Amino acid sequence: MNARAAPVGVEVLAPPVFGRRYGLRLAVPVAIVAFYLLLAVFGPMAAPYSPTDFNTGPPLTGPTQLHFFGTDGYGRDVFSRVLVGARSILLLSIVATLFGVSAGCAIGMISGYRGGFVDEALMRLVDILLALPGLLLALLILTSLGPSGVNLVIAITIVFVPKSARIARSAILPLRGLGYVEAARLRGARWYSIVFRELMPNVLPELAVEFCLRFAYALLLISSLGFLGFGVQPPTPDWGLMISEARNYVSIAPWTVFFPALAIGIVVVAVNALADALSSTGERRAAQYL
Amino acid sequence: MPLLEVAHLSVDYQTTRGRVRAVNDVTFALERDEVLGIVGESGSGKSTLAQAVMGYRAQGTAATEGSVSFDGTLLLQCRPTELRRIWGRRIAMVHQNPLASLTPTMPVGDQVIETVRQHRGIDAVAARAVMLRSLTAVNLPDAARIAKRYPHELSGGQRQRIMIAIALSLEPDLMILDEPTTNLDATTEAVILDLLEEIKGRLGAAMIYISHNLRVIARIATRVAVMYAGELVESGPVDGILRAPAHPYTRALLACLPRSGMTKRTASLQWIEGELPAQHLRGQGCIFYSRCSARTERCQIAPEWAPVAAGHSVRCWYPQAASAVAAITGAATVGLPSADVVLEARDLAKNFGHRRGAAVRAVSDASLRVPRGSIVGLVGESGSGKSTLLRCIAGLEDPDRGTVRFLGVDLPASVGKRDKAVLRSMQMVFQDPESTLNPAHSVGISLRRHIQAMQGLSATDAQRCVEKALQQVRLDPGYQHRLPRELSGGEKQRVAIARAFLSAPELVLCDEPLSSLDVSVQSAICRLFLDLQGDDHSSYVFVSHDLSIVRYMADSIVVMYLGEVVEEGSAESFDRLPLHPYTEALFSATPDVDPGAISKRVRLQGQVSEADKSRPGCIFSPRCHLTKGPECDAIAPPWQETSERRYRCHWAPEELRALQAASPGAIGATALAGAS
Repeated sequence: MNARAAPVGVEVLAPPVFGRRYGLRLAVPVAIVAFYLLLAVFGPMAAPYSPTDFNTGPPLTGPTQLHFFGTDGYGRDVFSRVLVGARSILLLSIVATLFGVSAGCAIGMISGYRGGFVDEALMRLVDILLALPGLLLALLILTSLGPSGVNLVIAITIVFVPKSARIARSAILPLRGLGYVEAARLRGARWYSIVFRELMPNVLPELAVEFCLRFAYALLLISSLGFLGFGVQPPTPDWGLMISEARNYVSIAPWTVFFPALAIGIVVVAVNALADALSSTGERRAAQYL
Repeated sequence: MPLLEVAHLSVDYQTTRGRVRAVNDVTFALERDEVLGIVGESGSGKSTLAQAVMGYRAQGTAATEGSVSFDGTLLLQCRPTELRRIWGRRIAMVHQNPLASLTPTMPVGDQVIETVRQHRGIDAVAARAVMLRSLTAVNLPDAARIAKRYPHELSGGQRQRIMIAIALSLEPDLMILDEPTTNLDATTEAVILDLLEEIKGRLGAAMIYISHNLRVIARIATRVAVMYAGELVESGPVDGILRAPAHPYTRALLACLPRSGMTKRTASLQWIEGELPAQHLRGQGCIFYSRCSARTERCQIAPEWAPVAAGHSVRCWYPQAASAVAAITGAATVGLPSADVVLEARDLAKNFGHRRGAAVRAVSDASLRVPRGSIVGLVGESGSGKSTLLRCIAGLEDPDRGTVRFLGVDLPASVGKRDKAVLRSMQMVFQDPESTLNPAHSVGISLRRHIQAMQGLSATDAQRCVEKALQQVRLDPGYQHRLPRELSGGEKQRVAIARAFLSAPELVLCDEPLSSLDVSVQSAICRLFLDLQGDDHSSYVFVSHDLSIVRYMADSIVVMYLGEVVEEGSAESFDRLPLHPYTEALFSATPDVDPGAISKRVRLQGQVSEADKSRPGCIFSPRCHLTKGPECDAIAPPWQETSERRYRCHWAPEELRALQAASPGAIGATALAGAS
């Protein structure tokens, strides 16, 4: 009814948007994330030294032409270790986020659409999981399962499911009574068909944003777990683990901590920026539907 | 000197797709005691015009040209501080949605006082007196008590009265009302219009009343300006416009409206082909060129204003080309209802969740019978449970009690438990065209999926079926590849209708399918429904709050109030007295476009109240103008039978007829006169 007030087909915007801002906001984080993915694939080939070789140079020397990022306490090349370390953390984060967000979103969408007892039961379970802080819950799972890559993925999946479920549920809720959903019910469509074939395509932008945010969080979580010794085990190069091992030298050889920390920092910021850019373009796309 | 002089006013918007001209070269003048009605369909730029007339630059406005002179002040040249002194104090505005205009956290009385103090600079005590006076002036009983309420505690009609009270409290010279009754029920709308008519004489202020509804304009305005695609096309005194419309667009708009006494068997409605031309398609010529049935070569040059009668002028080269638009002749080919019954819903009841301990009774013991090939119109105010009843029949809601018997079989309550044959034979068309189609799927995918789910068709058969259905609703097969956002509201509703008719259903449940559409589109969709019925011999349950449409289309009418059926019978019998008092009020609330039509004013007191449902007596008696008192309050009314109709009331048919016929110009009589 309110549509009568505004001219139809006229999309009134606030002051003209800076033409390229949206483009750049998306392009820069995409480029950085793509760079990291390339590292994960080709990093080991580009590494000048083996990441696990001791005494590639004198221990605890600062950045030089031979060792771009210096060497650590065992004389291992920090540059090679950072390059090679990209693969495990990115792979684990992506796999864990995929599992966690997909399972969480599926649960959330089903819960939101079906309502009633199903919703009540699922959401109370989610509440129980949400009551524990993410890192604590992951630690709890890893201490009982033992540290390993697979268990890391399981732990992060369990941490992510309740959070993603909440997001997906709230995205579905306003859509459940719309005409096209009722029309689907009138042709005898079952709930799973309505959730996944009718509703999901309309919440994909929201789910993509959720995936990016969770991915950034997974990177942090895996690094933190590595730092605490529950993630990837030595001598495998891992950014969190590297910071943990080098923390005793931080005052005399800061490069041993600085470069892995920088690697984590840049990718987390880039992925967050990507989520941000996606959500604003998502809103713009959503606005076109109106 | 006129109060307001608008000359060559144009407004441009900046949009993502470049500049759009929303108002183009509008010129008019308004005298001090005039009520100017501006009528136009959505997208005609009438709201933009209203804002520009105040000197207000809405967000996204790129340029405003022309001049607006208000009592000698050039508003477009004013600085913001000067404008603020004029707004409120001298020009007041009432918007469509009062809930958005009132602060939810402040009692309404305080909001009136705040406005009064801000603009008139008087002290709190005096402002309070002004507030109480203006609340009384808008017929709010017990002003002091209402003033303490918050907006959410008031009904829609009361809120809109508060908005009008705020405007009145400032004693403005000009009041601009932008669709003030569009969101209200017909009965509430009638009360607000009565109020506006009353105060326009008392106040001596000029008014600009903007509406898409020609019936409303006909009631309230002294002069009418017709707006199309940002331009005024005709302007003149209300009688002149309604009796002798000179512009083809005005004539077509009037022909779109069913008059009283007009039914599908006696006349067919006109509609306007095509749609509002997009910005880049508007040529140099007449703005209505693309849709005009009387266009010629000459119309490619923009016409000048031509006088038709005193104060009545039109922007058309052929102002007298009345015959160019086909006269309303020939009835639609309509199927005749037969004796066997398609649907019989018995004693359906549905309560919704518990609010403050008590369940909300949406539908209580309502029954509905649909003979094969007939259209049953279901009418009532919002909250009367008509949509819920429909959804219970469709199986979208599980009723608490009652049975649905369809084609001789008792149906399971929930749609999920009904078998495919039943699903195929009962389909539904929804109210909101914006959400009726999945925005993620193209029209073709939506339709194919729908038919394939119900009928195990091969891809090519489904494809053929979809193309045939699109053709039936007069859409090009190319529409399959379009996404819903590329369609207009009317086209979306056509696709939704195509979807419902894919499986050649026996019964189509229509939940206010016309109410979000423009008048010219409404009549086209209305015709489409009738044609489809003629082809398929299906039956409809047609829910609408627009009585004129229901009276035009329906074979029988069911009137609901607060979840109960209060009257039912054949449609033409509703032209005869007696009517249930509620039906009487409902019918008299629908203004007629014929200027000469006398209509009896029956207005309801109070508002629909949930508490009335738990009364032992008649649920309508608290608002009834014919209530008998204690008897109605205490004892549930019996069904009174008259020929072809029955109603629930304590008044026997003869008594009620005497009561209703007593006053001159009773509605039954006018309706009969119109039919003959």
